[in-house]
Amino acid sequence: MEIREIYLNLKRDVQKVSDFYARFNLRLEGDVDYLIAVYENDVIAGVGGCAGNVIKGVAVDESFRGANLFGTLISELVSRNTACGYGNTFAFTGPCNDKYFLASGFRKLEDSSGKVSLFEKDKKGIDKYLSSLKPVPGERVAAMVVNANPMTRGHEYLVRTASEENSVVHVFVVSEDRSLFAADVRYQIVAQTCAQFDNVYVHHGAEYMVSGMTFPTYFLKDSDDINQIYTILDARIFGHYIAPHLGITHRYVGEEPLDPVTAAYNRTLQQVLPEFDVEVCVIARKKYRDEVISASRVRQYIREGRIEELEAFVPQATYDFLSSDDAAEVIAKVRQSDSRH
Amino acid sequence: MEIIKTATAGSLESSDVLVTVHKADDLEIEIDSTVMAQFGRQIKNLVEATLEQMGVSAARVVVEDKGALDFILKARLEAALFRAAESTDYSWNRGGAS
Repeated sequence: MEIREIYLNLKRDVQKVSDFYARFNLRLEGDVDYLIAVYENDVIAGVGGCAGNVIKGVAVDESFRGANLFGTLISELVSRNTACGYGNTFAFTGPCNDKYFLASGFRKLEDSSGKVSLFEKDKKGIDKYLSSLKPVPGERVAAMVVNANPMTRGHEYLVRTASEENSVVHVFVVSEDRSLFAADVRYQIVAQTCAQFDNVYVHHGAEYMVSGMTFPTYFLKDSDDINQIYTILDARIFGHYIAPHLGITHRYVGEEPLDPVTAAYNRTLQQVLPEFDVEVCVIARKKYRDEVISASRVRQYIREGRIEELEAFVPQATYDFLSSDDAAEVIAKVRQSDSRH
Repeated sequence: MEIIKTATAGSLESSDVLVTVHKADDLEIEIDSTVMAQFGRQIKNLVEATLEQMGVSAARVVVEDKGALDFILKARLEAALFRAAESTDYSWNRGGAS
């Protein structure tokens, strides 16, 4: 038995892995950083991959089952991840594999409609995250999750509305670094802007605000609504762990007239969160001269070089950042990309 | 020895043990073993003794044992500790014949 890394730039080897996956109706995920295969007599008996610190694509051939190849694969993936400096490792899998991850010492965080389970290796991972979020007592506690790529007056308006309607507001900034504006920049701007409200607390979303960008799809059928499945997972983690810890009873979202994915996300939140006694408050978007203020509009203006015109659309902290030298790189990236994010 | 990052050693193979060491403010030991009922106490004693020998007073040690013998557990724990401390200050006689 031999464990080997599959070099992703060797098309023939990658094709062998794709063929292996096809036998299980699985697809090779596009964003894997590396793939490990276990060989028995030069034949692939099992495969597993990692994207960042998220394990994906673990599959073992039936004729080799019973030899704990799964344990071998997982040990190798977790050891490599830890050696890369990740303090924790996550895994998405179809619920039929739940028992294997549990036997490998993973903790199951949540599942989504019986289609996807999310696991973490560090059994105290989410507990450590929760202990970094200090509950603040109040009669009515609200929360919102923002990407703020970059923060606009629309976001600020949502925060202001929540701040006026609630005793305490917790704002979570998505920590995923897959957006044009870096996570730490987005967080800093939100924190600076929210400082004007004395009942608003800003937090990092960390790995517990599931982002659709890392969400795997390789084991879902074409007919499955992937966005809805990951939204349900994300909403359930929020409702199950974060809301009770902070006493959150209301989740604020901005109405979404422009982006169908976000609009569907809001609808799913409204279906899932009441189960956790959290009410969803949809707030109409702030407009500037009949135009809805959104981050994608702001990025469009940046693309067109109309940064001075942004003063009306973005809070001071965003404008200051865009006018600073540090923003040169991001502005270049925005100009070159036409991505949704 | 000061623990500065998370590190692992070992595997989940039968007769092996996967040891994970995390940075922490005090000493925390978590043990899960396929032979917990019979040897749980012995494993804990060995982990505590090894931590003391290595001069570690603050760490979170997670042991996932699949039936490893004592010397295996000690070796894996020591490897994880050295990795977590980013140290190569090996003194091969440290443990001594026991």
